[in-house]
Amino acid sequence: MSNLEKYVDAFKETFMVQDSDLSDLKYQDIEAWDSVGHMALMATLEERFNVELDIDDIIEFSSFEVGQSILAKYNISMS
Amino acid sequence: MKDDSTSIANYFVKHKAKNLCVNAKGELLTYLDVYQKAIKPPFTATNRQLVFCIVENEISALSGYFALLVANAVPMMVAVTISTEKLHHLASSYRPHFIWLPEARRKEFERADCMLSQDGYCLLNLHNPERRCHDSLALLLATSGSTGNPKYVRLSHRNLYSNAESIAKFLELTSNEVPITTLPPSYSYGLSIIHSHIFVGATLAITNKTFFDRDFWNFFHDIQATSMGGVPYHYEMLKKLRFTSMNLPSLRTLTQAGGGMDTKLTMEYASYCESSGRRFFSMYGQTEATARMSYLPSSEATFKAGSIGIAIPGGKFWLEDKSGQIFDCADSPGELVYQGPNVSMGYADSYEDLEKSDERHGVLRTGDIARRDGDGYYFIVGRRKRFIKLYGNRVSLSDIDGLLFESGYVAACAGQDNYLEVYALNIDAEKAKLVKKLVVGSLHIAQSAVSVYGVTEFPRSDSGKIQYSELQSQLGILLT
Repeated sequence: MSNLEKYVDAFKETFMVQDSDLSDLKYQDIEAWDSVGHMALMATLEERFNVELDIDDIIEFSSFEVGQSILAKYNISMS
Repeated sequence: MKDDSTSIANYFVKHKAKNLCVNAKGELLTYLDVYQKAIKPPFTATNRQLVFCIVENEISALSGYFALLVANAVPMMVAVTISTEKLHHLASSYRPHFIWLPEARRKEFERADCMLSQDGYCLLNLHNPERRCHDSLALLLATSGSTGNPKYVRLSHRNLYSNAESIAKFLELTSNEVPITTLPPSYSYGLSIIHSHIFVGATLAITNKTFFDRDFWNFFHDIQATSMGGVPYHYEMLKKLRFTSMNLPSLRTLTQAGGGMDTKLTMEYASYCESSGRRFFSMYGQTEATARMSYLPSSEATFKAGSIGIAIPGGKFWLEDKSGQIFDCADSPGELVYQGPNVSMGYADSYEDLEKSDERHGVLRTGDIARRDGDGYYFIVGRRKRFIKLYGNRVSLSDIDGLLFESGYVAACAGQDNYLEVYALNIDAEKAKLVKKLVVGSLHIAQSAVSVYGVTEFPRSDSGKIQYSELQSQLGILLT
């Protein structure tokens, strides 16, 4: 599974959303991505990519798109 | 206004020169502003009338709620997450005279008249006939999250006043406190923080941002917040954010309530507070007792971590055995019973119940099983009724069974705080996903907090009753 697939999968499983909803999905856009959902998403990503996200990165992780650039800082490239 | 010195409404006059609320934009609301709003139309018309109140942690929203308190209306707090359908259902059960809600939701009540529209909130007249509420009735709070159950707790003026006074006393609150909002005002714990600080004339730092918003922390620093409260999941979030390494010089006090927190996690915060000269309070309560029933003094936070502490000032605990006999020996489990002036008048299911007088007479059977140690500190060891706490909200497991039944599933739920197990009869993996989606959607909880098992039968007693205590994961196949 590619990094992008793993990333997409984490969102789909945590928030039960479709691929088509993802590209412009932002924190608190949908009911599922509230603070509880955010914590679940961070835990899933940390587990799947075997990283520990920095506090600033957890706070800055405000959308599907921004998340990709944040993970890039941990040498997890989506392309 | 109610001419009774034991009403929280009087404190808006008492502290009139002080600031009540401040937000990140620097907007201010004074105690006097609220008083002036309350003594003018249209708020004067709300006197003794039932008013639905859908408010977030925003100054404009709260100013309306406060004005309703001072005008001696009977506000009924409704969660902002409520759907239009459930809101209409609730309105048909309670027939409120007025509703105070966000301007954006005004269209949900087409035939209502707008009495006032201010800063994004409006007061609507629904033209329901006037009804008499019991003279002592001050406020209605929901018993559990968003299962759509119309069961509300009837709170008196004395309930609100005595609990605010007691909390202010054991937390040693002063007018110098600046609590930052972390909990919705429709939730008894969130509201109790607001009320207890009004009691001392403090200034509330109002925000509806979460810990995962940069703006929350910027505001925290700018306003120099001195305290905040959280339910266990807030403390899990803070752990994720490595809270104990943050630089928060203004912070003096942390409080925790809303369900039992893992003792290890409690210990981490208790030691952090102890070593940094701060105070940590574990607390216990139920909406049926306004909010708080007990607290663990911060000086004991590490020694007695995991304990709910001792009864709050003015209250009293005792334990009863299965036959209802009070017993006094240490370390034996029994049902925890509370007595105090903050014990609610009783429940309401519809407008007809609003005339009822006090049915509890100051005594509340908590439904929790507790033990008391040799030093007099209480520990919760189990629960008698089918309730669990999910992210701070008490949720009735039979309500979830009912919710699933309405959607065509036969299921029985079990679990523990922050973890729900659904046992559904004869379902496959596909249906299990739908069950999970339904439960997660209606309770607003994380997917990881729910497991769905497929079973072919339920454990039953000889008389055919489902044995809920025997529902466990080995009985079924984990489907999702």
